[in-house]
Amino acid sequence: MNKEFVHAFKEVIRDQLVGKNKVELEGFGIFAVEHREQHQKKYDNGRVVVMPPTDVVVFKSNTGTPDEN
Amino acid sequence: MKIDKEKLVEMLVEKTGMEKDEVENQLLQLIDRIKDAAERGKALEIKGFGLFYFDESNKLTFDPSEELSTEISFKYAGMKPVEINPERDTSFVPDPVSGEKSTDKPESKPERVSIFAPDEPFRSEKPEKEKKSDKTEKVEKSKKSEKAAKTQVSEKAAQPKKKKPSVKKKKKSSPKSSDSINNIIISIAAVILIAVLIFGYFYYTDSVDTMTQTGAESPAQLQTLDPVPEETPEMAETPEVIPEMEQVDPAEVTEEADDAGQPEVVQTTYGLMGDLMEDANDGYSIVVHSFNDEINARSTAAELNGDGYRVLVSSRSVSADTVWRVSVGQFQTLQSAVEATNELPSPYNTQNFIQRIQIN
Repeated sequence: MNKEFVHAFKEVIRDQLVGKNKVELEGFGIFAVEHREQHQKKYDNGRVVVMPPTDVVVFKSNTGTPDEN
Repeated sequence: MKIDKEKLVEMLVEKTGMEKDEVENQLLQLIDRIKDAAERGKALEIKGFGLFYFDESNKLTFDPSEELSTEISFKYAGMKPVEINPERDTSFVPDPVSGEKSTDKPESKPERVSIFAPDEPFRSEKPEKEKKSDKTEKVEKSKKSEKAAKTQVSEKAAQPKKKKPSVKKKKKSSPKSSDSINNIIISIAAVILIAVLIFGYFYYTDSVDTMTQTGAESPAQLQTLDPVPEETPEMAETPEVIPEMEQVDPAEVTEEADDAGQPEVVQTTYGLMGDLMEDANDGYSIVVHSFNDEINARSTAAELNGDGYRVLVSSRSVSADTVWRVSVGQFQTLQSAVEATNELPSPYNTQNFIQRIQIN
């Protein structure tokens, strides 16, 4: 497989995700970005920790299943 | 906006310069390979992107790599989980800081308190005068006797002092309303005070100059080969010249940068200041401006370059518009870029974001 292609693939998907775009590949899945708000996390030992907000990449597979979106 | 396969192929064609068929073929190969590996119970990792594998419920799953995660979440880079303690010992920490600050407050207070314009010179400058005289009195008093012999400066200082009181007396005797006399007295007193301050300042700098000069001469005579004493007089004499020096220095730097690269300056690959390094284009940059128009972006970039920054101008398409981003610095990691934002002047230190450097 072409190294240059893989590199470009990574870059394009990353750029689109940074720009809050979803990337959908039929027969494979959807890459998207979800925002996680700041929240408090309580541990069993009583510690309470404030988790900072983050944006996370989520991948929803649609292999074999018809495209719902 | 959703990017479908067709658009993705388009972008990849643009990026790689390959034929469309070739790109489609490669994309299919990639997907097949990921699925293949996953079906064989293996995880396929695309370096710098993430890991594909089938989870327990036989669903294709993707774990983004750390690089991808930090880039996606670049806005929140550097934010760490904070533990909340019900009882905080750390609440005592700010106190010494505020205690330090409180020493500053008395100085600024007199200025704020003064409401009447004529009072201002008194209240705001008196403390300065007291400070200066406190500092200089020891020096001055010891030197005054010597200077009295020379008395070129002290005579000048003394003359206006004598003249102005005499004016005061005349005005006092003149038959005017008490209000206007008070005003005049206040203004005269202010003028005298300013004059005294100015002469006090000259005394001070004069004594400092003579101090440093004499201090500098003796070591220079003793150790002519040692470069350090030669530097100290420059350092000591600069206070008045500093504004000029600061203006000259960046100009020299940029001239060097424009004309002949950097033959003398040894520059690290990554950094905020200096010249752009091609090797550093795989890193990150701090975006400080964004324009709709390339010309504005270029002129702002030129200004920043004049200040000695590494400046990049890049165009990005954001929701169907093209924006021109002006960014400074080249950093290897997102974290180092975030840290460097603290070095930027206001308002850049707070109004910025970090992006990956891309050569268009």
